[in-house]
Amino acid sequence: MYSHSQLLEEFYTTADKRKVKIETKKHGFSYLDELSLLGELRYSEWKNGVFKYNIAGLKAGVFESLIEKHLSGEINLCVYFSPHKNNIFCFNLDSFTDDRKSLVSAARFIADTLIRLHAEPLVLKSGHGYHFWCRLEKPRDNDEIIAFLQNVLDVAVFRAAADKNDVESLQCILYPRHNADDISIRLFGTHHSVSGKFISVVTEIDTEDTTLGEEDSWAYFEDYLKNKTIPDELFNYCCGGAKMLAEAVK
Amino acid sequence: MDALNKKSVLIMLDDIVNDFSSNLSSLGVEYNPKSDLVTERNYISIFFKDNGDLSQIGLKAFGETKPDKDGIDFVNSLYDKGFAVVLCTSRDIRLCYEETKEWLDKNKVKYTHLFTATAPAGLCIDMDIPFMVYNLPEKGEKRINLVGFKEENGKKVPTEIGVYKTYEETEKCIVTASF
Repeated sequence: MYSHSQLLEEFYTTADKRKVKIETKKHGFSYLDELSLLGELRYSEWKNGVFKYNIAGLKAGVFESLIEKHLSGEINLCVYFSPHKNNIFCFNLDSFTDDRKSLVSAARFIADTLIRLHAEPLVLKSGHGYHFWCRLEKPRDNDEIIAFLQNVLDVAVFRAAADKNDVESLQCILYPRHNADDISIRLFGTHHSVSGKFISVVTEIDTEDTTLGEEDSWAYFEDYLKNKTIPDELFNYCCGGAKMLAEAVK
Repeated sequence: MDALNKKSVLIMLDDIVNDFSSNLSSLGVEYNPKSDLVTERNYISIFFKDNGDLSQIGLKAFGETKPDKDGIDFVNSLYDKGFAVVLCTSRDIRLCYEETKEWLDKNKVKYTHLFTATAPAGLCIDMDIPFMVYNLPEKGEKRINLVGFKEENGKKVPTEIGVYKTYEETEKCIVTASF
């Protein structure tokens, strides 16, 4: 049995360990000075009492110590994907409006499309939206992964639109990213920044999602890591299949 | 309030260290400096999306602004006097950090921390920063707003200290109140 920190380190092997974003309610000039000792505190964000601190050039061992703080609930740790190759990818789906029906519908189509391509996702709640994670046996070039993600998204959006949903109200951020922007994503094991509630695994996407409790979510995560990582050869099939499906809907 | 916080100030960098409003107008962005900051951020995103290239936000909206020497001197003077200077912006800095940092370094702007917030008064209250400064230019003239914070019904609320036409007056007011 693995510890939670071992599970996170194993799942996020290819995450960029030199750069993170820390989400926390902790603040103040003294705290900023403390953060500056970890690396280069580039900028900070503030919204409704929650602070996010962007730190680059992390010193050796800092990333691992931040995982421990993440697990204790002191912070939510957000990571950046490697700019070249990754063995994880993610769809971050949210809505600009209160149209829950369209959001749920699109979420179901993303999950279903991935499952049909033999890439069963790990689904997490993220505010009103969802994160869909998959893990690969071996790191692959970002170009390949991004093409796969875009094809899956195109298919899911087509299906959602055909089902009379308002796809314009939706936003889906794909990871890894081509853009030279600075958008990170929270690790598994996050607690909601305001309520403190554990961000659970979703086992059934619906208007009222079915979710697991904290302990069961960790067990699910461990099982996913061990048994649902996509073999390298199978990902070739996933990419080919996604491309064919996307071409069919264009 | 400890000594560190007493000598701290939050400065909204756009239209103080640069010609942000003029630059946006020249690009054709329909922008009103008096918009709330969420609207401001949205104006810019919508413009660049509609005009084809969201990736150009960093360069066009911010990177190509011209420096305002008086504003930069004001910021640097406070920094040199020992103030913790928090430069704040409503821009989505995730989309334009490199352009922002490059611009600030190139124009030798001195600051302690860089923040993004669309409600900077709330940031000041949380961080216990006693002063907030922003410029709302009107017909090319500066309108430098200096805001303080006072206790009301157990909560801190922003309160206008004054609106000035020069940075000298603004700095004098901040420095006098801090010592």
